[in-house]
Order: sequence, then C-alpha cells, then structure tokens
Amino acid sequence: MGKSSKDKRDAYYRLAKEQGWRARSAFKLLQLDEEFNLFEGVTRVVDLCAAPGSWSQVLSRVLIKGERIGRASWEDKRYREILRSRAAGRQDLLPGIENEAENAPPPTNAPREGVKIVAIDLQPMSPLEGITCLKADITHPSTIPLLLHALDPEYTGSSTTSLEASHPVDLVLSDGAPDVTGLHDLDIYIQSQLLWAALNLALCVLKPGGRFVAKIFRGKDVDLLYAQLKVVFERVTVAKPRSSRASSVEAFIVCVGFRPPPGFKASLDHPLGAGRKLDGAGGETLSSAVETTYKLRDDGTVEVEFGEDGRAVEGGDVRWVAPFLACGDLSAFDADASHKLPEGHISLDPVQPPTAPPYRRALEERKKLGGAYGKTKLGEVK
Amino acid sequence: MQHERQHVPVTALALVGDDWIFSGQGPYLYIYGSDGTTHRKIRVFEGQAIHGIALSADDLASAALIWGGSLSRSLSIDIQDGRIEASLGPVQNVQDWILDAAFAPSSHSLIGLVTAHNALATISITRPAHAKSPTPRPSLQQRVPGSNCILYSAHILWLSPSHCLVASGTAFGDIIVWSAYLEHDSEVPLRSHTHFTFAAHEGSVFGVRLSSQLKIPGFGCERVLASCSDDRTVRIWDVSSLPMESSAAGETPRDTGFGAKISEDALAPRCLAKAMGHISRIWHVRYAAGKHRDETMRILSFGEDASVIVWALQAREQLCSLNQLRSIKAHSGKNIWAVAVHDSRGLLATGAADGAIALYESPGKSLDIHEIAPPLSLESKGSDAYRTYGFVGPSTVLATTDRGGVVQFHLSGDQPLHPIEISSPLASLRGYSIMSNVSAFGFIGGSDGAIHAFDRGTAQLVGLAQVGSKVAGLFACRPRSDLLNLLATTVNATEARILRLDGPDPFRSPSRTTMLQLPESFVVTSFAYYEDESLRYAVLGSRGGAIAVYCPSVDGSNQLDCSITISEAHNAESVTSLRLVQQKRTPGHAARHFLFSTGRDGTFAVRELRHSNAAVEVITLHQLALPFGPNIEGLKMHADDSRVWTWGFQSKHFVVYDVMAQREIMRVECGGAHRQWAFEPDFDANGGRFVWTKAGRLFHAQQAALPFRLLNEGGHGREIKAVAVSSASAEIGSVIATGAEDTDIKLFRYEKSGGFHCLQTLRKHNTGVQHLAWHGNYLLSSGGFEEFFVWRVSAGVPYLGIGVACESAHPRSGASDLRIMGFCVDEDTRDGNRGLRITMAYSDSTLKVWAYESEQRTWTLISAGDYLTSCLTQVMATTDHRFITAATDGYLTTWRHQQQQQQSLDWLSRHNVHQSAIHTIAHLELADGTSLFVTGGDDNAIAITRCTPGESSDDTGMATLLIPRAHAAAVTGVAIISIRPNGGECQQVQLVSAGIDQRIKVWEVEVDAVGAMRVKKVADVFTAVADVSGLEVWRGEEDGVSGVLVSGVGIDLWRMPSASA
Repeated sequence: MGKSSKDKRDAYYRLAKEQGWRARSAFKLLQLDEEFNLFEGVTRVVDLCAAPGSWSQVLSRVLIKGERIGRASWEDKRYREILRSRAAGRQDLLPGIENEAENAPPPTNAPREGVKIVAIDLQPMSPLEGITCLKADITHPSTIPLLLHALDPEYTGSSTTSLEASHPVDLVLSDGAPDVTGLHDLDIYIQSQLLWAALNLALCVLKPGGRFVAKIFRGKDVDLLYAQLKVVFERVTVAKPRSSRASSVEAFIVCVGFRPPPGFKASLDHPLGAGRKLDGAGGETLSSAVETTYKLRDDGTVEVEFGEDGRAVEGGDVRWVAPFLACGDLSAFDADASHKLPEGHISLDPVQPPTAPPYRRALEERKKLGGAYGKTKLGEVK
Repeated sequence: MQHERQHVPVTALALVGDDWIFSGQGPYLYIYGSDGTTHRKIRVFEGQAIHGIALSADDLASAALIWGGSLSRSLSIDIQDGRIEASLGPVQNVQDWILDAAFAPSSHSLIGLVTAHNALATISITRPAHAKSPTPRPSLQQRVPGSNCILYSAHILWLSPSHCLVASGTAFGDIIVWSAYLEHDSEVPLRSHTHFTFAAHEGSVFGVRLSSQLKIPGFGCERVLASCSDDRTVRIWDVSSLPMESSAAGETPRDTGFGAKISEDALAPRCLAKAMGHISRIWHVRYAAGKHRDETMRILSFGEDASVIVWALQAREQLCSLNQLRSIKAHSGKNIWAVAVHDSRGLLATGAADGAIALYESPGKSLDIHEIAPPLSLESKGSDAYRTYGFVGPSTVLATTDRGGVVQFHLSGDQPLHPIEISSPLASLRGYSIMSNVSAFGFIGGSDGAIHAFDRGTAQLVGLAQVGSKVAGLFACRPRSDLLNLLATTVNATEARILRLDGPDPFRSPSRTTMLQLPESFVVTSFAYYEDESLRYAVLGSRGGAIAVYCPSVDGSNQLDCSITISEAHNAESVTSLRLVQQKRTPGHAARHFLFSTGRDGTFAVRELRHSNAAVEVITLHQLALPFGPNIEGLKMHADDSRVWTWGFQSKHFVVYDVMAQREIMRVECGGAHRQWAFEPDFDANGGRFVWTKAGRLFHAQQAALPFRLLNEGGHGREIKAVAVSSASAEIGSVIATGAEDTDIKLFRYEKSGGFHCLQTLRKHNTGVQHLAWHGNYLLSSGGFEEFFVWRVSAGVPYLGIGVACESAHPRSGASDLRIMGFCVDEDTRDGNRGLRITMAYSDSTLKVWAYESEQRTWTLISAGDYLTSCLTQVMATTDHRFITAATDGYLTTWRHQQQQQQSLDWLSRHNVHQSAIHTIAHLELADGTSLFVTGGDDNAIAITRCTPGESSDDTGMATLLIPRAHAAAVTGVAIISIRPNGGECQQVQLVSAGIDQRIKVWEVEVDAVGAMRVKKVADVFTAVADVSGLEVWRGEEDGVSGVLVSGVGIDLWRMPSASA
C-alpha cells in the first residue's frame, strides 16, 4: 500500500505523522486517558515495550512539558457538521451534538514536579527528553534490578530479595505485542506472557492504589487473565479506544486501585505466568450473584446479567469477563473507515522508520541473488 | 449441541506403527488408517486444541501423550488385527505452555515435558493394580524449575533412562542446550547442567532438533543440532561433546533483547552449515530417513510458506554445506503446523492451516531427469537440433530436426536415450516443421505445404496431402477410434481445411476434405470435432481468445458453416485446447453437448452448445482461473472416472493439475513456458512423461506416482472472512460459500459420509473477501478496492457437477480503495426492470443502491446516501421498504427507500445498541408486524432489538435487550435458528452466537405480548475455529436436521438441540 492510500485507509496514521507522533498508537493512550483520567496526579511512570516510543512521547508532552492534548486533535470535524445539518429543526437529534472540544478550556502549560519516566524495550529507541530509556527484555529476570536502578539511582541490588522499589510509581504502561505467528493459541499465550511480565514488573514498582494499563488480545481464555488481574486491582476494565480498529483483537486492560495481597512479594524465582498464579485470598472474591438480573438503563435499553462469574473450567482456572468500555467520543476519527483526504493533502513520511526485522539479512541476501533465494538447480541431470 | 464435523488446522501429527496416522485438529484426536479412512474421533480436551503427540518408544506404540497449551492427557493404545482402540487418562495441567514431550527409552509410563519457560516436568503413568477401571493414573512432577525467558521451541531427547538432553530456542534467537539427570524415585531432580547458551539466530528460534547418536564414516560429528528461525535460515550445529562447566550461564544478568551479545565464553557449539530457502518464517526442522550418494544427512524444514524443503548436508573434511534438493508445496495458503517422520519407513506427514494432511512416501526423491542425445547429423558435418516433437504412444516420441530429419525415441527407464531414424532429412521440413499428435499418430507439416503422416504401428512416414503453401497449423482430433480429423491451416489464409481420415488407407488419402471459412483475423490455435448420426460440430479456438463453432450447412451439403463466434472466450489470449463432451440422452432429456477449453488467460472453461434450427447457442457454465498459469496449455479428461487434468506453466515450472480433485499432480522445473515441449498424461500412474527443450538440449522426466497423498484437502490456507449457504431448495442445493483472507472463494458441499468437499475455488478477488450472499443460483461477493462480482452457479455440468462463471464484475471494481463491507440483494421490482437490486455499505460511511441487469450485464446507480463518518459494516432490507445499516459506532440506522424514483438516500433515525462496532446482524420479522434485529458487537455484547414501525418517520420504534458480557471477546456471528409460539401471545426465539473467544452459545429469548423480552443461555460449547468471522444456520439436506456452521480459521458444524419446552 502506498503512503497516500494508507493515509486514506487510516486517519490516525495520517494524524500521527502530522502531529509528530512516532506511531499512531499515541492516540490510543490519549483516548484511554480521556476516558479514565490516567495521568491525574501521576508523576512516576514506567512505560514497557515502549519502542518506537509514541506512548513515552505522550508522557513526555503531558507530564514533562505539561501540554494538554485534547479531543480536538483527533476529531473528525465532518461528524458534527453532518449531525448539525441534519438536526436543523429537529430537537430530538441535538443532544450529543454540542461540541465539548470547542467549549474546553484552552490548553495550558503546567509541567509537573518530580516527574520520572522510565521506558523499556527490546529494540533500541530514539532518546526522548527527560525519559530514561532501557534496552531490555521485560520477560527476563535481570530486567527487574535494571528497572529499579533506573527508578532510584541509589538502588544497589545487593540483596536479591529486595525487589521492591523504594519510591514506587503511579502508573505502569505496556503496549507490547509479539510478532504473531498465526497459531492463535500460541499468540494468545505469548501475549499473556508479555502481560504477566509487565504485571510482574508492576508488582515490584507500583504503589498501592496505582494504575496499570496494558495491551491485551481479546481471544480465547482472555477471561482467565481478567480473573487474575481482578485479584490485585480494585477495578478492571477492558477498553477499546476509537483509534484501535474494531477488526483487531487488540484492546487495553485498564486496572485501577492496585491492592497487593497482604504478604505478597514479587519474586524472581517464581514469576507470575510461569505456573504461578495469584489466588484470590487477598482481594474480594469475584461476584457471587447467581441470579439473572434485568436492569433498565436511562436510554431505555434493558441490560441482562446472568451472575455466572468466577466459574472454574478445565484445568481448574477461574474465569471472569471484565466490563467493556469503548473510549473516545464518536466524533473521533473511525479507525476502520476510509477517509477522504483533506484538500491539498501532502503525504508525509513517518516520524520514525520501522525497526529492522530479524529477517532483514534474509531480504538483503535475496536481493543479492536477484529476487529468489539461492536459485536451486533441481535434480541434476544424469 | 452435538458436534457434527469440522475442518480446522492440523496442529499435531504422529505416525503410529505402519498403518495409523494420529492427527490433532482442535480438541479432537483423529485416527486414520493408512488408506485415509477415519477410524476414531476422540475428544481429548474440552476447550483446548491439541498441539503435540508423543509416542512411547516401544515397538507397538502402546501409549501416547497428547498435549495442548498447558494441558496433557495420556492415551493407551491397543492395536489388534487391523483394529485400533484407544482410551484416555485424566487431564493434567502442567501450568505452562508445553513445547515438547518424549517417553523415556523403552518406557510406556515415564514422560518428560519441556515448557515455554524452559522447565522440565515429568509425568509417570501408573496403572492401579487392583482398580476396576483400567484408566492410567498419571502423576505430575516439576523437575527443573524454569528460567524466565520465553522459548518458542524445545526438543527433549532421552540419552538414558535417567538423562534428558534438552535443546531450547528462545524468542530472541538464543539456543540453550542442557541436561537433566533424573532419579525415578526422587521427587526433585538432582542435577541439571547447561552445556551451551549461544546466540544462534538473528530472530526467534522456532524449531530445534537434536539428532540421535551419529556414526557416519568420515563425518566427525557424533551429534548435531538443527535449528530454524524467523531469520529464514536453517543452521546445523556440532553438539558432539557436551561441556559441563557452564551451569550458571543464562541466569546471570546481562544485556537482553534483540542483538544482545553473549560474552565470548566459547559457549557456542561450532556452526557446521547454514542455508536459506523458505520465503518466510521456518517453523520446524527434522532429520529425514534415507540418504544417497555423497550426502551425509538429510534435513527437512517446514515453513510459514506451507512448503517442505529437503536439504542435503554434505560433509567433506572439515567443510559442511547444506544444499537444497527439493521444495514441495502440498498445502494451500500458509503454515505447516504439524510434522511427523516415520524413521524406519521414511514416510513424512505434514499438517497445515488448510486442514489437510500430506503424506510423502519418499520426500527426498525428486523426479529423475534424463537428457535425450542430440540428433545424429546424417549429413556428417555440422550440428543438428530437435525442432518439434510429440508423443505417438505412452512412451514414444516422434521428433523433427532443424535439418528436416524425422526420428523417434522410446523413453524407457534406464537405457540411454538415443533417437531412431524414421526418415532421412526432407527438404520440406528443413528449417521449418510443425507437428500434431493424437494417440499413435503424428502429422508433420512443412514449409512447402506438404503434410506427412506417421503411424507408430508401422513406424513409417508417408505423404498425406499437399495444402499448397506453408503449413501454419495442424490439429489432429480423434473423436472416435474409427475417425480421425486433421485440421490444417496455412499462413495468411482465410480458410482452413479438415482432412477426414477414415478411409481404407487413411494415411495416403483423406476420404474427404472440408473447407472452413475462418472468421476475420482468426489464427487457429486449437480444434475439436464431434460427430454422431444427427449432429456434427467443429470448434476452433484462436490466438485472440475467440472460439468459433461450425455446423453443417443448412443447404444439406457436407460444408461446415460458422454458426457462432464467441469473442474473448479466453479473454484476448490463445485458446490452447478444446474438447467436446457428449452427455448421453436420458429418458426425458435429449443428449447435451459441452465444450471444455483452456487458454493462456489462466482459465479452464465449460460451455454448453445448444443446437436448434441450424442455430447454435453457447452458454458458459463454468470458467475459473486455475491456481497456476497464466499459460494453461492442455486438457484431458479420464474416460471412466471423474478426473480432468489440465497442464501448463507456472514461472519456471511445468505443472499438471487435476481440476476435479483441485490438486497438483506433477511439477517439473523446466525453465518456464517459452520453449518446445510435449506431455503425455498417464492417469493410471498418476503422472506422465514430460519432454522439453532447455538451452538447446532435450530432457525427459517421468512421474509414476503422486509425490504426496492428501487427506482432508480443499480448505482455505488462511482465515475465512465471510460465509453464506445457499438454500437447500435452490437448483444447486445447499452449497457453502466461504471467502477468505487468501482472496479465494470456495464452494463446499457437506455430506455426512464424506465431510466438507470443496467443489470449486473462485480466484478473482485481489483483496480479502468482505461479504458473500446467495440469490438463487447467483453468488455475490464483495471485497476491498470496491471489488464486487456476480457469479453464476450451474448444476449438471459434466465431470464438475457444479460450474461457476463470473457473469459480471461491478464496473467500479478496483476503482478505489474503499471496502464494500456488506451488501444485501433482492429482485429489482421497478417498472420494466429485470434483474437484481444490490445495496452496498461502504467503508467511507456511504450506502448505494445499484440495479444489475443480467441480460445486458449493466449496472445502474439507483440512489446513494451518506451516513456519518463511521465505517458501515452491514446492511439489510426489510419487507416494509426500509434499509437497516449497522456501523462501527454501534448504531443501527433506519433508511427510507422508494423503489420508483432515483433519489438521494436518507437515513431517518439511529438507535444506539453497542458501544463499538457491530460485527454481525440477523433479522427476523414476527407475525405481529414487528421485527427483531439480533446484533453482535465488538463490545462482547449481544443485543436483541425489537422494532415496532411507528407512524412518524422519526420514531425508531426500537427497544433493546442487551447482554453486555455475552462472550469474553468480540461477538462476530449471530443467527436466528427458530421461532415458535410459546403459550398465549408469547413467542420463543432461539438464537446462536459465536465470538473470538471461540465459544458458540445458544440463547432462548421469550418475547411477550407487549414486547418485553426474557433471555436465557441454553448451550455453551468450545469451537476449534479461531478468529470466528461468521455463523450461518445449516439445514441438512440429508436429514433435515438444523445446525450452525461457524467459520473463521476453518469451519465447524454443530447440530442444534431442539428448542426446550
């Protein structure tokens, strides 16, 4: 696909280039923040699987530079125009059309005090002002002391048991995803391992009441993960920003109110995910309602709940379906829609070129050989 | 719900004894006999696919361990007198993803397992001595705690009953080789040692395999390790010695992630060889049994590209090299997920995402290629070369040479191939000759207009005719054993002649010559002839893609007149072969005549010729692109069974393909299409003989058996994005159409005995298929780039059964990058119109209504309108003349449409149902005039929206019952199974839903007189289909039982329970 057709296919790809973001995923974090107020009172943040660094960019601009990035930067102006023109003379259509973005206070600069942001990724990442970047594997045990040291330069790591940050952080983010293989079970497993690795690090550095946001694949057995997260957080929501395509299994788990189980110690030897599970002893048990309930919402829709939370399945694990929340106003660009490009649109180059794939050398070799891999001579003639 | 049938990726394979194939497909273990019949279908897990099968090392393979994810189950196997019994042990949870498992030597009770965190666990199966039930009771022990790095691959090899050697490949390109020493009685392992930790690849290591102990003379290594990776390489390592001092490596803090340097600790074994061959990631590597000549070992690699590459590891002195012998692609689409090698028999089995199992008897053996000696120059001086040649028997080739000589040769196995002279050089054939062959006869035309005939029986060349000027084309056709017709054309002539060879001495004088007047600029490239008591047809194909049909003149003479010319029958490309087929008269039905053809447009076509009152009507019943080409060169139907072989070229290869079985029969690397060649199919041998010229030399290859057999073939190699089932009452019956990410559409018939049988593959879309719908015998398909096609499906096509032709492509197909997300189709009821009305929902939030007129194949825009800014996902028409659309914003929107006038399309009202995208919608109109819309959303919810049409157009009249947490992930398929009265004015509706969480759920909704709804869930089952994209109600033709068909990565059919009282 050419650059320009990608601009049409994906409004956020175009906006990211125009607004200087390293990747379109910046909008996902911004829209999550719009819904959940993720950055409220936050000064210390760990950004996992950060490369190419668009989430760190958001942290940098919001926390360090004190910018306010509002809905206006991802709003499809046509949405309200069409609704307004249709609503002319029709009161019933007006609610929901008033433009919050226009009424919002003008952006103010309010840099925060004592901001500390550590970004970690496997791939090298271009530096960002005020952000400590580490190149490390978040699933590897040696990364924990590395992170603790980056957060608190006084941390010595002399004692392997001391794996808790002396100055914990407010927010842990992870936008990591593996290269998918196409074997769905395996991809889901690997993604869950990334999530566990992120959670393992979060358990070491997060302060009680802190927040944890991570990418999740909503596939088979995702309810097992939800059930585990619910043990250590008060509120667990699965959120889908408008900038994440409906056609993608990607969503974000937003966990608020970290409540480490009493006596819980993050452990190197027994990390979560590799057989170790959180038991529900510390937190409240999952909903115990067993009856079907009907609830009439204000908009007239009736919601039904079956009260079957916490059921155990094959292998003895417990499932729980976290509530879903779509975030981002409907006036936000639709990531699935094709868009007409604005008049005089010039397609920009991406802010950062994509990182080199592991098969880069294979591609080079192939080029050298003139298109095909080692042109083989089959079956030599006898 | 009862599981009926599935066709899903094969994710585990084992070859058991000499006669059995074990295969894991979803949660089921299938046991096939060596002939491919299914003997057992065993449900191993409730909600987990099988990813591996390990067999006990005893001769009888009396036990197996089946695993998937973190779960495992033992299986005891009893094989007696060609029967197989198998019984399962309890489910064991190893708590981590299992990568490999192996039984201890000569044990059927102790199994070692390696998990993705590089942990070793053991399971021992003990049979309780006095238990009533024979179920083995396994006990699980974690032997070596894992490290925290994630592995993508592992191989466990028992060196002795107490020593496991393990190779592990990490996500970051490292390989760890380590040992664990077990004592059976102990609860914990006593020792484990790391032998090697090294950066082996530049990408994730997807496959590792330790060899057995090697004793190869002249090869210094006693054990090698093979690995394959994301970096597209296969590498071979020398692990003959296992150093013991590096036990702490891997656990020390170090730089991690890609490109990390491991200290220069000499911990890496020597890399013997590395090579590239696959075009994408490589998933598995194995050692092949059998080798020959100067090979030291044979290695097999299996890739994302769905191909197997056979490598020869050649070792000379200290130098090793890995050379590609052969690449075989037996599967369609992508990803070989499962592999099994039978060491003693040399049999290889692969299982892939297309759901097929391929069995290769001797994977390393390529077709033998022999060179045919150049013609001996009879005039002593100077060289000569073969000019043209063709088969005059199963293994006899007649050839001409540049100097005008005529020779034949017999292609018999081992003898050196030397030509036998038939005729000394003829002046008329010097520098120019053309040939046509049929059965034992060859006809050669020269530059002076002479035509010579050759009969293998007499091995003589005789002068047949003189056509006056340079012979441009010769085409022999033998419609019956007692009749041979030869069509001859001359350069620049406007006439062609048919020489009828059925007299007493046919090869000396034709009994009749018939002149055919050629259509304008018609260069003949193919010819077919049919004749019976009442009918004669001569059919000619042209270089410009036209087909001309000739019938006897109305004046009663023996002349043949051109009745009809079909231009662009094969677009503008050469028609390369024509065959006429008669379908015999049956009571009540006249005989029918069909024309089969191939062309260089890459298609194979079937047309019916209808003859009435001296006029001929030609109806295209079938015309589809084949998966090779575009140069499709030939065609032959087997006389007795239903085999239709076509052949031609695909890049550098000559390919033979069975249209009926939809599989490749033969493939020869010959250099490409632009050369002289000849092919003689051999149906009995599943192959044939191919002769070709390459760089001035003549070669011969023979195939006497299929390179591989296939079980469960015919599936898509990629995920299905759309599904539609034709009505059982349609002329073609219940046909399942699926459209997939691979851009193909496939038509399947389901039969209880044979499962899903792929009838046809429709290759025309250039992007993933978005939506499919049937309308009578029409199938309509939409995709990206505004692609929209109308396919006409016909029943009763000889050989094929079902024929498919693309009747029309929407004129805007390919015009933009908009996706047509959904559409609905009904009859165009406007005055004076005949055809279809198709309403399309576009990704840019527009809705357009088109009229398609099927006679003239014209498209007219009736009306168009904009929604808002969201991508529309679905559209449907209601009987009260409204459209309902669904969009990615979660709203259902009602549109007004009036058939009679062209106007802009306006939406009336919108109703919020879901928080985000509506993926799927089903519609039901109730007796009281209200209707139900059932929707599935990206928000995990199912909504049941009751619509009571209001007086005012602004009133949506919609009320919704929402099940917010209906599934754990997006709901991508909903359907309404049934509706029935349930006392008073209540009605009970049975729904079914499916989602990305791989669950299928059945719901019962009770709608009372005032529209209040109550819902309960009545079934919840796991489906092996990942990435569910659609769900259709299935009404079986055979027993009328209703069910649901789920599509995604594969298809899955379930029978429905009858609605509860």
